[in-house]
Amino acid sequence: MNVLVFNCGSSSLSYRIFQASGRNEPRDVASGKGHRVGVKGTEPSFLEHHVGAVVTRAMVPLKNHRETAVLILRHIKHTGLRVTHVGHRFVHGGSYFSDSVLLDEDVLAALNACAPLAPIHNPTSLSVIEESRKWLPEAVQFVTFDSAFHATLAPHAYTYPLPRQIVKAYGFRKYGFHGLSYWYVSRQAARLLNRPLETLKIVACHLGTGGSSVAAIDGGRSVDTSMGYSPLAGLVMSTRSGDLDPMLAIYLMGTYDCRPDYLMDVLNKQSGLLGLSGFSSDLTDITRRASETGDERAELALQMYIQRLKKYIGSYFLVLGGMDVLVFTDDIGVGNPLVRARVCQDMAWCGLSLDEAANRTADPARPCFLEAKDSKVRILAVPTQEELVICLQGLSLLEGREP
Amino acid sequence: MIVFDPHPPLLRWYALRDGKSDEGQCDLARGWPVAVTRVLERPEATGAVAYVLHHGGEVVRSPAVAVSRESLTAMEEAREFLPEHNDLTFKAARHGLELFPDLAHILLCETAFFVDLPPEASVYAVPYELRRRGIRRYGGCGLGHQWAWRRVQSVLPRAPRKVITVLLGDRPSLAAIRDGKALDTSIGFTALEGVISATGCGDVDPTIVFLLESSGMSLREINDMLSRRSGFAGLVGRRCGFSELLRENGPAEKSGAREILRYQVLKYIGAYAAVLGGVEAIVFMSAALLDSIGFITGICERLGPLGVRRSAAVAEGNQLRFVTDPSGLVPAVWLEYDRTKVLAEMAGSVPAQGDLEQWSKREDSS
Repeated sequence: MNVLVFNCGSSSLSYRIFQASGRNEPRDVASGKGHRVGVKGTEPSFLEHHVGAVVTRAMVPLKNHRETAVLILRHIKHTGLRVTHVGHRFVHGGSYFSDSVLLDEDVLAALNACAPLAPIHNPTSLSVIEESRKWLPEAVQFVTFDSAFHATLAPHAYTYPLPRQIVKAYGFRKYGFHGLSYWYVSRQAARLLNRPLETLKIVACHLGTGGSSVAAIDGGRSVDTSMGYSPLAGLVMSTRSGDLDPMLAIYLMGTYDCRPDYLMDVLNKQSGLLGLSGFSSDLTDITRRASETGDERAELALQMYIQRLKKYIGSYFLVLGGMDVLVFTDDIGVGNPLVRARVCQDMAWCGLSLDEAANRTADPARPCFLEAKDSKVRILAVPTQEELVICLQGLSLLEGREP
Repeated sequence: MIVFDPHPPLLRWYALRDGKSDEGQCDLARGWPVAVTRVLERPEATGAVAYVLHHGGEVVRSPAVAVSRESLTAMEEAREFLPEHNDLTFKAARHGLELFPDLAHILLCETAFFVDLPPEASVYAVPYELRRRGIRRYGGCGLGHQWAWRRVQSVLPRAPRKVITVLLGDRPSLAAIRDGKALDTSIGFTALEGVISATGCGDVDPTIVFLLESSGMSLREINDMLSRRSGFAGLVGRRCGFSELLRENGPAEKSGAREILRYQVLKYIGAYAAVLGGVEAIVFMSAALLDSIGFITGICERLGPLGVRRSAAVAEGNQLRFVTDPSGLVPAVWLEYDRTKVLAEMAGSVPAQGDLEQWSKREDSS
């Protein structure tokens, strides 16, 4: 069987086709990615396809995820690959979904009901699901959820201290996201360290071009994470503000008569790095301008991005009662040595010491250990493989076994 | 010394004379109650009058400063930041200056210690359009945090440069302080942000506000729910103060509120260790040690990775007590937080008028 996996990021759309047979690890036969989907930056968007060793790249405007999905599905049709299954990443399953599901009309209705929970992600995932059903009507479709990995959080970590009846009525709690990625990188870290996952205290930073989060993982189980009920909370992200005083929302709506949907849009799509720098949501643009021109706003954006991340690492170091390995993953995590260097600066107190040379020359495509010899904590940059996790979870769903 | 502290609609006062303290509250609308006037009519015993300003915005930049009628007028620009409270403060100060022009009058500001937070702490990651409307982290309870910093300098054998201060009570807050300067604090634009409090929700995903709004709640109702019906009260199901929260086998026991507070304080300590690049002392402040010692040692037991030694060695006596083994790399100390004394000490640190003239001359010549 051939499993097509769509991974809908907030500013990217990746796909991968796996050939799966029996108990063997699924084999990756084709893949591709739409970069900077809907991004306001100086760099153009583009779409790339990999088949075997052949790479094609097209500079095309990628206005939104639906259009990108259509370009990808049309490309797949041209290659002649027969797709039997389609797997989707869905960010927020709310209290409807705590595990992967096969798609049917009821599930689709429930997914639609989840749309407002993650206003950037869920609607875009839905648009990709719709296009997939249109273009591949015979294929079996399934959905996996980013919030499922954090189901292990303890009440003191997930509870919002609001009146009980409100919490009950609305399902308010910390859900957390990027679970597929954390599932994968924590297992990779254990494999690369050659230690049982059950013994490891891991702080993992999933730093994407759109959304970013941190998780504290103890023995393979998530104990805390920076995103909350929605993906708005936590780190400073490309266009999301991350943590802020909830009274700000009330104040702005009340005092300046900001419409709720407008303000929600500002906090989700015009804040974070974009709001701070005033010119780009792309950390690459910002680090470049900060180091080349010393632009104050670019430096502020970068400094806030780093500081917020360091604070979460410090918190989770105490929450875990120590740290065996600090993991960096996703595009910025593996691809931006400057971010890693600045995060590890002045962090000797929690045992972090980075090897500057190893950090500079690390290959973004491969797992690399980056700690200096005197570091008490291992530092690992490892590319994530959310698509593989989606595929594995789909296969286990079809066979009714544990992934 | 007498200190006026607004608690709308009333004005609380604390008097400290000859080592004895006295307190009460008055309604400004009805004029000065007899007790207060009596205190103020004996200037030789009173020494100075201080007024607490709960929110000075970016206008009031000194935690404790002597005021005249002129300088007060300039500071009244800060009224808007917290009109209900600030109105009382300014009214009382104007009143005091008029009635007793010969006394020293001091304005104590709860946000001034945080007015120069570094931008990465004070700025919210929102567009400049919103930031320019005065949206920033102002902090709060700055007098207590600054007082704790000063006290711990003289208490420890080696003066610590990187300190985390933890104020425990109905409105807990934390601050990260290096070389006397605040680098971060848990209270944000308002006191709603930060750790869970007796009635406030603390840090929650802001998306929640929008969902409540779209379900038909008014902004006033949302505000009331998040600031007055959440926190310990929301979890316990009725009003519950900090000391009641700590009581073993009390009604709060099963609510999980104590564990949430403990966990949030722990997370902030870790975050501030990162902000400071390590920590040299942790200072806990609470009203009564006996009530909170179990809670505080519970936190300290999880600070081992910071270099705090587990064994709890609490020295007896009224003086400062170590919560943890003082020979550990990072000592945790406890300070009795008596608001009257803290405010009086902070007000007392302002040079008297004569000294002030000399001081400004020295400034001129240097």
